[in-house]
Amino acid sequence: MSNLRLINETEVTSSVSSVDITDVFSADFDIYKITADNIIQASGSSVSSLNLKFINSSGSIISTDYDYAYLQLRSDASFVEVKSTSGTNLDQALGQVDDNLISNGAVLYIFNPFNSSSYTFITNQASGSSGSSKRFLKGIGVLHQTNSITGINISVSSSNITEGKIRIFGLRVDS
Amino acid sequence: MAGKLVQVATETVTSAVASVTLTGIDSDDVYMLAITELATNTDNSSYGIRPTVSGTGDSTADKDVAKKLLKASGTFEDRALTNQNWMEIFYLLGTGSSSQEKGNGIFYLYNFNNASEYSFITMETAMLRATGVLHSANGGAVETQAQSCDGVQIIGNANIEAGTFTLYRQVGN
Repeated sequence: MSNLRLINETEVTSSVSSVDITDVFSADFDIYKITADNIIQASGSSVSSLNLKFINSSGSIISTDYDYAYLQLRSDASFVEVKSTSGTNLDQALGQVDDNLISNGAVLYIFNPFNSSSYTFITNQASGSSGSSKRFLKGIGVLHQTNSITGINISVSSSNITEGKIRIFGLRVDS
Repeated sequence: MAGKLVQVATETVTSAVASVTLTGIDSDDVYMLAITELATNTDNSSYGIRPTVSGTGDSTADKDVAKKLLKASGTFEDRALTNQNWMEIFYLLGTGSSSQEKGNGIFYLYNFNNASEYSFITMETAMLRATGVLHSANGGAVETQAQSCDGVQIIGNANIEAGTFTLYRQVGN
């Protein structure tokens, strides 16, 4: 059996502005891998960021205390450094989407979300687009709270998404 | 092909040690090292990986590193190193006041078993520096010596106070 265990698979099949995936982090794992693929917007949509927030064990979406940094790699322009020490979310944790022509994909690792004695760290990389510009990013983030985190909230900064698949895996350590 | 990750070795540190060694690389598959909550007792400490030969970390100064340092505050940096005696993975790790200055990362290991090839790694990390600033390294490193390596030694210029270190093998169905 693989030490990488599928915990949750969520598929977007209708127009939504956010997706909550709850009760996926537990004491069974310290590291989680999240993949997102084929995320698509409705036709005529404006470019939107796919942002991430954590959901605590009380079911509340956390909207403070995020730090992040990412390098946005653009196919048609200079690369851009983006950073914050006072974020209300993990900006573009799953990249950007624009219109219905090009889908988006992302891979994230989440470290120690459930541990109520530790901050929750992420590393992330994503591909996507803004108009005809193809955009990629490599980034990091931290929620500097010691809450026990049990889920994620993915929100779209403007136009809704209509399709997409998000998988969450736990990386098992057998002592 | 679905593929899977199979655990090869793991060690959890709960009291200070100078290094951690994980062995068991015995095939030409890709291996993955996962590190969670590596903690130091000395501000501005750096840690790295040495490929092991017959279970012993190779300290030869033949490791080259290139990585982008992302920071939540301050300008991102290019960090390029040659002829190092470890492949630096965490740079300027702190102890800080919050007790949260810990290093986390995922590392892929290539060609370690192959005696005819250099051993390469790629890295993605997230940590808090001694200043408390979120900081990472995205990049890679190589040992510029063709030899068969059977594992990794994680070592730094200060003790490892805590952390969990796990080596996986990526295999097909």
